[in-house]
Formats: sequence, C-alpha cells, structure tokens
Amino acid sequence: MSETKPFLLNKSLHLHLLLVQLSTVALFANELTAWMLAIIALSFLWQFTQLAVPKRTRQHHSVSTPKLVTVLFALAGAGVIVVNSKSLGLLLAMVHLICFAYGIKSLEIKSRKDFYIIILIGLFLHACAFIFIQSIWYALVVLTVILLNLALLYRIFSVNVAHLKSYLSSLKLLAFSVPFAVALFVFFPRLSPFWQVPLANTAKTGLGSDVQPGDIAKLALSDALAFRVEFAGKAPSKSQMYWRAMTMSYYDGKKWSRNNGNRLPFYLMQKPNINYLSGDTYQYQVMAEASNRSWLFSLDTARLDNNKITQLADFSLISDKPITKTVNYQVVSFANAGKELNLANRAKRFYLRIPEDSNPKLQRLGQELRQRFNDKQQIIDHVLNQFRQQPYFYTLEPPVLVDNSLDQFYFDTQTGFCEHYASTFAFLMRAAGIPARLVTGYLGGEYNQQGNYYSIYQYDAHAWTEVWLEGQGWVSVDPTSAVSPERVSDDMSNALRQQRVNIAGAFSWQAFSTNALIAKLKMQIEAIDYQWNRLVLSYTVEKQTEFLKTLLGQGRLWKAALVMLLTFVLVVGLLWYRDLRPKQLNRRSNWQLQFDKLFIQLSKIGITREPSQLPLQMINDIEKVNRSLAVDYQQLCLNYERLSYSQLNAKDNMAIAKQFIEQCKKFNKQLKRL
Amino acid sequence: MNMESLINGVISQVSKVVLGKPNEVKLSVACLLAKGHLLLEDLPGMGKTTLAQVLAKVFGLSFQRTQFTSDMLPSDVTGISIFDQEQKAFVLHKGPIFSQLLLADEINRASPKTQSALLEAMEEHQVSIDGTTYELASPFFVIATQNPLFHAGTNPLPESQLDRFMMRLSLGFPDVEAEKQILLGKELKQKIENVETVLTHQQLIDIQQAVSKVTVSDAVLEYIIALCQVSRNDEFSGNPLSPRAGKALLKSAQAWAFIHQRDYITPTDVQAVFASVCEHRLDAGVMELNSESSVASQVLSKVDVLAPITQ
Repeated sequence: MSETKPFLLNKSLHLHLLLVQLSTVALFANELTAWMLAIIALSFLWQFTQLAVPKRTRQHHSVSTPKLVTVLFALAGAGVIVVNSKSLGLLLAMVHLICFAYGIKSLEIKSRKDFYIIILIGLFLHACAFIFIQSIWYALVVLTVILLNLALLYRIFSVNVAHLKSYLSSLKLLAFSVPFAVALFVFFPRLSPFWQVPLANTAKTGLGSDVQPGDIAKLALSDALAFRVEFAGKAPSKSQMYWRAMTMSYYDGKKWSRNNGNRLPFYLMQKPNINYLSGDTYQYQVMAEASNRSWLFSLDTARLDNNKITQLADFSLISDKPITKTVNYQVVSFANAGKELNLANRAKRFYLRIPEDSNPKLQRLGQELRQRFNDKQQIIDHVLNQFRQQPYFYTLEPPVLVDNSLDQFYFDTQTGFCEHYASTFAFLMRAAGIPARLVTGYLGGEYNQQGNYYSIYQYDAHAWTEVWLEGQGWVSVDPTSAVSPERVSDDMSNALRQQRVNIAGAFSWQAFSTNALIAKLKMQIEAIDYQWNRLVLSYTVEKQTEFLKTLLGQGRLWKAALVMLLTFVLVVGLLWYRDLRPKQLNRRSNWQLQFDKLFIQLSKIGITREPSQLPLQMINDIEKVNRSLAVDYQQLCLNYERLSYSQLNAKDNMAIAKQFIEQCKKFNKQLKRL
Repeated sequence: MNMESLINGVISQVSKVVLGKPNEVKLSVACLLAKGHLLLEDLPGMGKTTLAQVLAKVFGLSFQRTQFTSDMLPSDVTGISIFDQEQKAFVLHKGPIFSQLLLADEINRASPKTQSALLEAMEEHQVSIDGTTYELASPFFVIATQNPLFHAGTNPLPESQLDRFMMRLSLGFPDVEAEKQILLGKELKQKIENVETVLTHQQLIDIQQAVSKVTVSDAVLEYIIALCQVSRNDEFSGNPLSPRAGKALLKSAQAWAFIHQRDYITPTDVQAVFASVCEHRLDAGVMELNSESSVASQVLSKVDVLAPITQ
C-alpha cells in the first residue's frame, strides 16, 4: 500500500460507506443538536450528489472534494460545537466533535489510511452509542450497524466477493468474537474509576423534586419505564402498591417542593424513626431505570442493607449518585410499621407551615374545620367525604389554574388529577392544624407473567399525602381514592386510558396498547428486556466480585485471568486449527455440483464416462445422440476446463462459473426433453 | 511475429518433409520447446534422420550428425586435444557435441562407454576434456535414433540413461496417401534444403520461457502425481515412474498446451504426451510396435481424470 497511489472507490462501495456513516450517525440522533445533524446530513447529501453526477461514469473514482467545500463544512461544524459546548457539557461536546469528524471525513478519502480511519472511528462510535441507551433492542440495532461496517471493510479487501457473502463472512467473524466478548464481560476486572464517562446532562422524564398542579398529568402521557419489581414471596394487592419516591414539605403558594433551594433540608438527613411492628412484610428486588436523578422507590416502610443507598428521615430512599444506568437493590418493607411516632414541636410547626397570603379561602375553611371537629381523624374523614360527595372529577386534562390555584380547584373547577387533590388536601390539613406533607411516587404496576415481575411506568406516577396523628405517626391518605376509587384499584381506568389516547393521537402507541394482542406482544418484549436488564446491565463490579467468589473461591483474580487466557487460547486455537486443517479435497463448489447433476442425466441416456476420459472426450458419444447437443456440450466443456485448470482472477472465475451453471441447466433441460 | 504463428510455421515446415505424421511432428516440436532430448526409435528408413535434420533446420540450430558405431570412442563425440607443432601447445579439436543440435544416429550401436559419455554431457550441459571443463552450446539438444533391440549388434541403453530422454517417439509406417507422395516426391536432400528456418535464436529462447510459464493447476498436478503413483503400485508390472519422469511429463504437457494455444494445462495435454514421455521409462525396453494395449494406456485407464487423488 503506497501513500502516493490514489485510493479508488467504486460507486457501490461508496454508497455502502455512506449508508454505514448515515446509520452510525443516526444512532446519535437523540444526542446531537439539530444544527449538527443538519451539517452532517448536508455533507452526506453533497457526497450523494457527487456520486450521482453523470461525469463519474467510470467504475472507480477517487474521493476528493473542492477545498472550499471541505473548509466550509469544517468551519460550520466547529462553529456549532463552540457555540453549544457550554450547554452540551463535556461528554456531549466530545460526542458532537467525533460524530462531526466522522461525518465529514468521507469528503476526502485520499488513501487507504483515510478509509481505515473512517471504519475505526465508526467502531468507536458504535461503542459510544451504549453510553446513552443500553436496551437489548438498541444493542441489536448497534450490532446491525457494526455488521454493516465490517462488511464494508470486508468488501474493500475482497472486491470481487458477492455482496451477500461479505455480510455472511462478517457475521461469522462477529460470531467468533462472541465467546471472547462474553469471557471478557464476565471475568475481566472492571476498573470503574478509569472508565467512567462524564455524565450526560440529558433530561429524562420522571418525577421532579417539586410538584405543581399539572406536572404529574404530563407524566401520565409518558410510556417510559420507571422501574421494575420482582417480589420474593407474596406481593401486596395492586391498590396497596404505593411506591414512595419522596415527600414534599415546602409549599410556597404555587408548588410543593422537597427542598427549599438546591440542598436537601437538614431534617431529612436524620435517621429515620421507624417502629417495626409485626404484620405483612414484603421482600422484593427493585430494578430502577436510569433517571439521572438520585431518588429510588420502595413500599412503606422500607428497610434495606445497601451502602450506596440511604434511607432519609421521610422514609424515602436516595442513592449516593444520580442513577445513570440501571440500578438493582433489595428491599424489605413492613406494611404496618409506625412511622415517626414522636414528632418534635419544632418539626410539627414545620409541617404546619403555609404562606399567609396564599389560598385564603382554603385557609378559612381549615380554621372552620378546626373549630367544628375536636378529633383530627374527623377532619380528615370530613374532607374526604366532601371529595366523595361533591361533584369532583378526576381527569388528565384539568383546566388551567392561575393565582391561588388550590382555592380555584377546590371551590370552582373541581376537576383535577391526583396532584390537585393531594396538594389541596395537604394544604387544607395544614390549615386545619394537622401536620401534613405531599408524597410523590408511583401507584400500582403492570404484572408481567412471563417474567413474574411488575413494571411501573411513568404514567403510574401518583401523588398522595401523609398526615401526622398523635400516637399513629405518619399516616398515608390518598384523597384521589375518594374521588376516583378505580384509579387506585385499577392501575389506569379505562376512561383515563381513553383520555390518554385522545391526547396522544389515534395512531400513537397508547392507542395500540389497548389492543389485546399488541398488549400481549408488548408483554413478551418487555420480559426479554427485563432479563437483559437483570443479567447483563446490572452485572456490576459488586456482582462480578460476588460471582467470581462463588465460582472460583479464593485467589479469584489470577483464576479469572487464567479463565480469560484459556478462552483466548481456545478461540485463537480454534481459528488456527481451522486454517491448519487441510482443505477438503472433494469439497465441491456450485458449478461442480451442477456438472455432477449433468453427468447423472447423461448416464440416464446411457452415456457414461471412463475414468480416464475427460468430459470433452465424451463428445463423440453425445454427437451420436444429438448433433446440436454436442455443440452446446463442447461450449460447456471448454468452460469447465477453464474453471478447473486455468488460472482465473476471482472476477472472471465468477463470471465463467455463472455462465457455466447456466449452460449446464440449459443442457440438462434439453437432455430431459430427449 | 507472434509466438502462435511462429509455432504454426515450425510445424507446417516440418510437416512438409515428414509426411502424414502430424502428431509425431507436434510431439517432437513440443519436446524441443520443453528443452528435452528426444529419442527416436524405429526401423531403418522410416525417416528418423530426416525428422532430426528438418528440426535442426527449422529451429535454426547448428547441426552435427554422428553415426555411432561399436568401435567409437568417447573422444569421437566430445573432441580431443592434439599437440600443435607451430604453437607448441595442445589445441582442442572440438567434437560433434559442441553443436546446438546433435543427431546421434543409432546410439545403441555404440559401446556403453561412449553412450555414457554422451549422456553425461546431455545432463550436465558441459564436458570435461583433459581436465578442462567446457560449456556446451545453448540451446543444446540431442536427438538420438536407435534401432529396435532385436537387431543384431546393439547395446541396449540402461534405464538410467533412457531416463535422460524426455520423449521417445516412433514414427511408424506412413499411410497410403503419404507413402504415395514419398514415392513420387523429390529427393530428400532437396526437400530439406527447401525448408525455411523459422526461428531465430532469441525467439526460441523466448518461446521456451513462455512454455515454462504455462499455468499448472492443482488438479493437473494431482493428476500427474496419481499417474506416477499407479506405476509405483505393487500390482503394476513395469518400472515405477520417478519424480524426474513426472517433471518431464509436466514440462512436455506445458509445451503441448502451448502448441495448442492455451496458457493452461488440462489433463488432455498430459494424456497426449503421456505415452511418449513415459513408455520408455515404464517398460525400459523396446516399444512393442503397434501393440493394442500399451503399458501407458494401462496406467492412464487406472486414474480418474476428474478425481485423481481420491483413487
């Protein structure tokens, strides 16, 4: 390979290259800014038009672009990266840079080296794609793109190989690498500190750290998976599955929030005060999807033993790092535990705080209630009854509320989603002198029979309240259940489902998921995804250590190294053996098989070959049968001899073999007609 | 002029004189193109000498004819140093072996000593006279003729020396048409004089080069090896074929393919030259004239051309 020799691509290869590049960049479509996508797309478009220009009728061409065009592309891309780099963050800026370089590198392929660089960057990008999405389906897509890329490399090396064969051979090579990849995955030590990638600041849907009316209703439109739960032993009924994410204790007149500012409030950092009582306990494993936030989910009241997850004073769980990939943890929940039976006066005052000037009507109502009822439980019951008896409606499409939104909701519109009810209820309780807070999380879950687990989706997001009662501690109250009992018993009422479809459009996934067959299929697909999550994605450093410990016992590091070495030797040895093994002498190619068939036909009409006879030498026998056949036979035999005995380059060989097979087929047909 | 028409010219010129023997003519030309020595075996008066003379003329080679007799000494072939009175030194008087084409007529009449002197030179392309080594001309061909062994006063060539000849040919009796022409035709000497020289020295070397580059596929190599293996079987009655025989077979098949304007060998080429190349090595004796099932055809019939090695 000399650098001075221009590197030539033919049209088909160039199109293949463009396809590979296009699909590789498409893997990052979600991550790249629209500007960057536009620039890369323009560069592809430019190349495509260059290919279509009629002056390039020659089979092969070198790829060169006017300097001006290249410079323009380069400046535009660099500009986009510079302008956006601040908002993108380090990782995404780097991804932009490499995608951009990859996209425009094909504008100038002057030598073989340039071509290799494109292939290599492509492979690197395929690996990078897993930073953002790790689902099994995505992995399959990436694998397909890798296959495309490898086939391209294959085709460059063996120009005359059939298109399909290049894919098959690349697939075979990929398959050979699988055992090695598995061994590396299972045994290779994970050096996490070195391998960490700066966080992508991509926003994900999920619960926020504050709630104002309308937030959760928006979430209810999202089909994204929040987490999965697998129970060991019995599971509570769906209506009891209140998955606590966090509590919100600050109300500023507009929204409820967990923290007043950026930091967690001090009181949450205290040890949770739980009286574990006998009663139902549930043991389960939670697999939380990446959310880029740190809160996790549990049933009331959780106890867990995990040094990476802390239980806060409001009994919610928090991870020490934002969840950027699927996280697994074990929890035991005590359904009847007493939650913070003693509340300090200072804390009581804190949970009674409401802004003086907000929602005056509700404040007045609270005071009335406080005077009317002696018992706090009576107040709660009264308000819940109000919800039940008055014409309150539960809907995904609540009317827009402005100032003093809770007043407006409670007295005027009376239509809302769970957060309307929970916010209002908590506010009213505080106004009536009962310490209260808002709890957000998820309610219910979809049971998957194949995998025996529950999936909890974003649309299961829910808000309810907790009130503190003397002697009972924090007690959960769900005002929504008073308005719309079916929201609680069924994970999503049919009416609501219909609403979601109306909002999302008739052809959306939501519309399809109401179909029973599709729903079943969805269930199957999710079961596979679940296993992928359980077995592959959650195979962390800890799991690896644990696994190696049980598998290899003491001294596992060198044993793991040994297993890897053995796998390596095995794979390389197999490949070596495959090359060493003498090629089968009587392995016959397609055209030879065709010829064999022809001889079977000939023997049927009584023409057989002496061992020392070459096919061409049988022409006299054939001439006796049919003269015109003999002419065809001679043509065919000449091709046979060229295929068998002459030195042909691969291209000629293919052409002649193809012609030969045609001739054999034609001859066979004629023979049958005799 | 391209090589194809040159070869065609050579063959047509030779065929003008050697009538009615196109196959033998082609074989003898192939033998020379493959740089091999040729042994002509036939009854007297069948045209052996004529063939050799015509070949020499057509190929443009310097030609010497030596009639071998039983009292011949090695120096009669190689040459001898004689003291020159004027120069007061020994001067070499070169023998016929220093020509480019040596016709050794009736080689089996000479004594074994003389025979082996010639055959040494054939193999090594050099001779030693009085302790000095002399290179022979290049190209150097020997065309030897011999009478069938049952003729009186002959010393049969040993197997090791027969092996040095790439081919053994027998011209055989001409057919009626050819014989008519021979009877009515001009004097032989005049005929030979009329023959044109077709090849220059360089052209011959170029053609020999091209012949050695004719493609040999694995399948053909296997076929040749399989043929040799059949002759090495215990059941086979003749002498086994040596690797040298295999090599001669390959080279002459290359020349045969070249004459037929192909740049690759097929088993047909091997079959065409097989009898001429191998028969004198297989039975190491005299050709059984006109015998129906020769040793060579026995060997050929035992190998499947399309799947030689699996046999």
